[in-house]
Amino acid sequence: MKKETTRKQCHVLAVIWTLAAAAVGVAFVRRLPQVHLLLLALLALSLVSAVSWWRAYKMTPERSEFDEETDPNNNLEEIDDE
Amino acid sequence: MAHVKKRSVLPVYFIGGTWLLWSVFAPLYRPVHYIMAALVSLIAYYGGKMLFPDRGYEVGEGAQSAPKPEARPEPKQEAKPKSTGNPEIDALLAERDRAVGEMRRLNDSIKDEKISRQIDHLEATTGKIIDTVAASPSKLPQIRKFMNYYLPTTLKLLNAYDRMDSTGVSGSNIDGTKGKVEGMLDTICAAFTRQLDDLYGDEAMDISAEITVMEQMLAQEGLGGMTLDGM
Repeated sequence: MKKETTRKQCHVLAVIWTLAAAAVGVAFVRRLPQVHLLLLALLALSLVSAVSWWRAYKMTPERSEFDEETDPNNNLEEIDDE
Repeated sequence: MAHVKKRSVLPVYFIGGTWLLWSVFAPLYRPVHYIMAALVSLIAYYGGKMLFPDRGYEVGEGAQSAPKPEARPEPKQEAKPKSTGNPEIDALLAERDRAVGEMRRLNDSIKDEKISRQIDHLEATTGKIIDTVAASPSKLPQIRKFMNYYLPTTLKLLNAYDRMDSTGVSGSNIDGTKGKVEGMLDTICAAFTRQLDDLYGDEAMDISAEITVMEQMLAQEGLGGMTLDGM
C-alpha cells in the first residue's frame, strides 16, 4: 500500500520540481531566439508539477499532536529535512 | 527495540542542483543531453549518499510498531479512498481520515458524556466540511485556516484533556485546564458548524437570486400569488 505523502515529502518534491523547472527554463532561455517547443512543453509541465506540490505542501498541516500520539517513537522511515 | 532509519534529503537535492548546473554550463535540448544529465545526476546522488549517509538508531521504549515501515500496522488507513487525481484534494481527504480517526480514538478514551457528544458533533461536521470541499475544490481557500489551525488546535486541546483526564488525579492545574477545554468546546462546535454553513454561502446567494427572478417572472405572467409592485 502506498504511504500517504507527508508534509516533508511534499516539500522535497516541490523543491525538486522547482529545480527541474529552473533547469529547463535556463535551457530554454539559452536557446533563444530559437523557440524550442519541446523545452517549452517541458517547462510548462515542470512548472505545473512544482506549483501542484507547493500547494500540496501548504495544504498538508504540520505534524500535529495526534501524529505524536499515534507514532510516538517516530517509527516511520522518513526523510530528514536537514 | 525498534530500528529506525533516517534518510538524508540532501542527495535528492543534489539531483536537482546537478540538472540546474548542467542546464547553465552544458546543452540541454537533445535527448542525448538529457541522458547524460541523468547519468551525471545519478552520480551526484550516490556521491551525496556517501557524503550524507543514512542514520540508524534504536528506539527502546514502547516499540508498538514493527521496525520496518512496510510491516507497520495502519489501522486508520483501511478505508482510504482512491486518488482523485488532484494532490491537494488527496491530501485533504487523507487529513480528514486522520482527524476523524483521532477524534474517534479520543471519544473512546474520554468518558464524559457531554464531551463525547461534542466530539461526535465535531467528527461529523469535520467530515462534512471536507467532503463538501472535495466535491467543490474551488472552495478550498475558504477552509485553509480551518485545516491549518482550527482543526489541529482542536485536536491538541482534546488530546490534552484526554491526558489530564486519564491521570485520575485532581489539582488546580488539571481541573482548571479541563474546565477551560470544556468551556471552549461549545465555542468550537459552534465555529465548526458556522464553517460548514459558510461553505454554502455562495450557493445560498445564487438560489436566493434565482427565487427572486422566478417570483418576478411568475408575477409578470400572472401565475404567481404576487403583483409586481405588491411584494
